[in-house]
Amino acid sequence: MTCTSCASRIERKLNHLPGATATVNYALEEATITFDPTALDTDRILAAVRQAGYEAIAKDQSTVSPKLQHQRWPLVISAVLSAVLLGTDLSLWSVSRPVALVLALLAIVLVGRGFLITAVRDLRHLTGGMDSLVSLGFVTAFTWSAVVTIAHKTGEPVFFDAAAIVPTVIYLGRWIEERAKVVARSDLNDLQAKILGDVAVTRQGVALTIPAKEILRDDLLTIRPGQVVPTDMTVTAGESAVDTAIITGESDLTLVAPGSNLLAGSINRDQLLEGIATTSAQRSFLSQLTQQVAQAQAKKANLERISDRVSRVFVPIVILIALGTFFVWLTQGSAVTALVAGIAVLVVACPCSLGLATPIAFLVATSRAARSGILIQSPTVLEQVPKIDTIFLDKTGTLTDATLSLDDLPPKLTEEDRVCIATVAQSSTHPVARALSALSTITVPVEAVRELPGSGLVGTVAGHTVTIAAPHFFHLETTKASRMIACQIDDRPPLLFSLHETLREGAKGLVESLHNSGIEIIMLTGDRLSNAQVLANTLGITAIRADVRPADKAAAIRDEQTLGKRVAMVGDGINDAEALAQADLGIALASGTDIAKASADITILGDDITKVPGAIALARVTLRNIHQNFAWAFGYNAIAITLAALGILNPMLAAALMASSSLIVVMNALRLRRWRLQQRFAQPAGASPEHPFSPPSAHVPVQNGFLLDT
Amino acid sequence: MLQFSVPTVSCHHCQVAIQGEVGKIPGVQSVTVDLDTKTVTIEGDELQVDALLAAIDEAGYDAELIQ
Repeated sequence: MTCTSCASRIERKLNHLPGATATVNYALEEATITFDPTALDTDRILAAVRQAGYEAIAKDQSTVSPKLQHQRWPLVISAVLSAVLLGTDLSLWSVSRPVALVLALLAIVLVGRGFLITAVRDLRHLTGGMDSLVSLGFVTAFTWSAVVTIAHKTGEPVFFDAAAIVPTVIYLGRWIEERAKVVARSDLNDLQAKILGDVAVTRQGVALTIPAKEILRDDLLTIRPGQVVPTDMTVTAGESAVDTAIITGESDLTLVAPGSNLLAGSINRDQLLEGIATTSAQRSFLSQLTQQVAQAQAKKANLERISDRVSRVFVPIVILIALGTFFVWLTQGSAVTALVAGIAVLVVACPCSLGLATPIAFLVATSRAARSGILIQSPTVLEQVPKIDTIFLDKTGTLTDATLSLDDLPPKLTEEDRVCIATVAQSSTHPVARALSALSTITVPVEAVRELPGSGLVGTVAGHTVTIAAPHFFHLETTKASRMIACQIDDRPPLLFSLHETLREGAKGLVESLHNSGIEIIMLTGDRLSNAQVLANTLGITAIRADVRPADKAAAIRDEQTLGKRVAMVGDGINDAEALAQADLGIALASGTDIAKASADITILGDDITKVPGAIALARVTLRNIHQNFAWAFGYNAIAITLAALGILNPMLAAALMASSSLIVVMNALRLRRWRLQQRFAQPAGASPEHPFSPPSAHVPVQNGFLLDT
Repeated sequence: MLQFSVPTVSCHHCQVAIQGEVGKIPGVQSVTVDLDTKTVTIEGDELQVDALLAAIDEAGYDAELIQ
């Protein structure tokens, strides 16, 4: 929304929806909607906002199915009723048929109503879903039984137990499924919830205690030990150890002092801190992160679209099979057997495990990944990953960091020279100066330092004049391929230092891990081939595309793609945007606050390249999980429908099977919650403390450097 | 050509919303929303003022016919 008129426009559109009352808050960028869950659902509300020309996400996804949230009692009562009816059927006790009719009707009203309402609505739109099948099943069973009872045809059997148990069991299955979804989403919600408490702030000199979500930019915040930082802030007073697990995925304690920037979601572990909010809580890093994940989760994978299409043709086919079953059995002479088999087919055929297969696995995986500092932009990304056979690694900023290191030191360098050079170098932040300042930890007072424009630095230390400059400044010729810097002390001949880019921590491990997974690695750089070659040799990379201008990086990727390769590109966020977009899979390294800008398919938070194989591994594990779910759902339907049509399943058993099928899919997906990113090559195993929000994991087998406790 | 005053239009989104709704009306050839003067200019054949007012209303804005 860009103006208040937008807000009133959205409000108007929402209020047009049947049974909805909406208010839109422009400042908070929030719409609050009260609606009747039987007439409207979140998807339709979101669609209405989209039609108005805006994007919206449901803020609290856990209330997506409010109809199931608080309905424990109807479920319990209908379960008891079903048990009574089942007992009669098993001759444990006896209930007269008119009483059974009332009990079954009660169960249908309590839990079957929802299915019927959806079925009728679907029928009006000439579509059919799971609810149509179930409704058709229990309504047929009930109608037959009621007619027999009212007509006093005591010779015919009745199926009141099936009429009650079928909706009850399926409702129970959905209830458990809904709970599981809430659990899956809880990863990030947990963290958000932790910062939902009250916070002590000073606003325009007045001390207040306000809910965290009302924090505004420039508020002065007081963060107690143990408290979660509620919004991005700059520390103004106090020193403390802070846990930045939300950004890095690892529980690293960082020392912060006045001037340090903290991101929302970090946890203050030690001392009281004071700081100025640099953004409102609504726009903090954590809010952006949660929104990005929610948006990704709202997108549909191609796989999911397939299952949607299958579900659409599936229902009419099942109804035809049920009718066929009924008539075939009828020709065998038994109307009762025909009816039972027909109902069983309707009930057992569940497209919902099919429909659940992808979204639930993706939901769990994205939440899990976000927790590890990996943002996955949409479900389709997961489908791309296993196809990748070539990966471009950007050199500067990805394989190397911005710092330089010194190679072998000149033999004539004395301890005094070291101190002099280091002291002068310390007055500059240039990467070359930084490298030189590592020559000595001893510092002496500098008398005067000035910059030589475009060339270097000159300073006076303990009576010596120190000049640091490029070799050509001293008219020196260098033949070596690597970068050189010259340092002259007084009038002595200049000392030559050679420098190399510093490899990022974990770069070696990354290359090794990619090699092991059979992916071809190409180094992509704008640097000279000779410089790149040195680094490539260290890392064991054989293919290099050097001297590539930033604008031509995308073209380099296109070249490989025209050869039929499926290309991934790893680069640092914004600089490589075009190349990242050109690649089949773009993986961006972004520092915490860049996430909103990053347009790559996968964004690694906190600049940590060691997470790249982790992201790939997670995508593979997730895709495998989805395939397992699909295989299960298809297999289940094929077998169950056959058994039901053959008259082997009764409707009650069918209902139980159907509910358990969905549950198995959900449970399988929830296994992904236990996936752990393990940066084997970043630090020795066991060196990092446990993630503060994860249960301690023990006995975990290592798979390709990633721990997976299945 | 008909021109309406729409005092609450204030951004690009408003512009798009009005153009979207009014554009659906048969006979409308062009819809110009001027954010500075807060006016909507509609060109087309056999335009009906009531239908256009209703469309702007549907987009979420109150309008008044100027000329």
